[in-house]
Amino acid sequence: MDTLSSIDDRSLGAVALTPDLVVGSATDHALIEAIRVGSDEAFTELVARYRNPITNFIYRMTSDYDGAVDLAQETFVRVYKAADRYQTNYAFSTYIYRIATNLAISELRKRKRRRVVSLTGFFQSSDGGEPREFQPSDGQPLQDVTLVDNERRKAVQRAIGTLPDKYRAPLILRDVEGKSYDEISQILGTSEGTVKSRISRARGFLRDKMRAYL
Amino acid sequence: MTNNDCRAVRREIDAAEKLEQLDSAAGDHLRDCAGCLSFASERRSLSNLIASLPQLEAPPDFDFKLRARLAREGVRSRTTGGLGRFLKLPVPVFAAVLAMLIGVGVIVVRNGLPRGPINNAVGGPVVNVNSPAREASSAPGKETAQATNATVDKNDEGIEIRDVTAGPTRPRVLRARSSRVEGTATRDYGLGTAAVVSAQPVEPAGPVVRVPLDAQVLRVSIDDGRGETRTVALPRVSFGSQRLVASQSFMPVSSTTNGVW
Repeated sequence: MDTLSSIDDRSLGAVALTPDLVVGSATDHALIEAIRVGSDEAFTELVARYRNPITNFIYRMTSDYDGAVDLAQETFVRVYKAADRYQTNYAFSTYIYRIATNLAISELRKRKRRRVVSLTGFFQSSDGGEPREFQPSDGQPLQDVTLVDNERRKAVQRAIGTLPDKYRAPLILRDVEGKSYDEISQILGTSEGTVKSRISRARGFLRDKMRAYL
Repeated sequence: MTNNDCRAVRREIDAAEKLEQLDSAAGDHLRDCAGCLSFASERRSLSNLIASLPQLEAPPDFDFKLRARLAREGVRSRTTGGLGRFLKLPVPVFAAVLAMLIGVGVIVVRNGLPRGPINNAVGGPVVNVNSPAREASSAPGKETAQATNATVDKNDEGIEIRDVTAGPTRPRVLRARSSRVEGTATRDYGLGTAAVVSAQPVEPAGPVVRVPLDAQVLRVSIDDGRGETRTVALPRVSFGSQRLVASQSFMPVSSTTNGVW
């Protein structure tokens, strides 16, 4: 885990702290300390480090790119606002993923209540796929390998999207984001055993849905 | 090879970062168990499929929009102030606060705002009005016996009449609130249901005034000792029949001359 020793040892005043900090090589905690004293550079650096993984993670959770970007921005807004209250007990990545997870799960619950259908989902191109019911194809090989890969990706994303929330988050954190069980348990606020169990269940669900591609 | 072995090996396969990291016992089991070998194969294929998902990137204007959003949020948080913070309360807290406010509002509407002391010990000069029951008459056309045992408690804020005849379980406090502006406050106390009069004789805390029961309207003029006089006009009061009166210690009627005292 990162420490604040590099920044604490300077024993400088709040204003003088920022110019001495080399934001590119600073730890996440050092950047947060710099944000506390008003460093815009530190915040920019923090955003640059985490904007892509957070956007990707939220997109895998919600299957809506525009919504994911919006929630990723909301995540950074919350980090910025709560910088004064941030405690360095955990790694910053755990902290920010926890915020993002909570936002994504809240969004999924809102959608369930309102039965929201994303209009932007109709125009998503990369691998978001069309918002239709998940119906895996028969698994027959297609002519073009690229098309096969694309079809597989779409199928995987749709299958992940059908997982219950409590299974979806740990699976994505583990298999997409590559987090350790320990870190996932900290992000989700559950025990490591529960995380392992949920991931195992999630893989079981996916295996059943994706059997044609395995 | 048992089901327990298979379950343990599959759990190990699920928890492993890579299948190559399985221990030798699990490797031996995989060589012998086709089911677990198939499970491991599917697990590997699934991991590869999920890992093949591309890493999406944030749009190029992400930072710009984020800055704009932060600036907007900063302005909003400065302008909303306390009310905005109150509206952002969690729903259960907000509901509890709202329910509490409604409850307080209902109490205030029913009883009026509490103003100053209301009991005899703290209040101003007290005038006890003990009106004995009038003997019930068998002659038709005559009124049934009435009994009042009321305490008029006056302070500098208002006038209360504690009606011990009201309510079977608890004494009802009828409050004839006089406004700060001098005037006459009236209230018809005969509208409620008749109730049992307290059996305990009320010790008069002040001068006993005989109430003229024949008077159509009782006018009570009260001097608060500071030069202000207030007049309360009380209509005729009926408390029901004699048998509702539990106390036997009523004072005989001794009316004054003109009903003004």
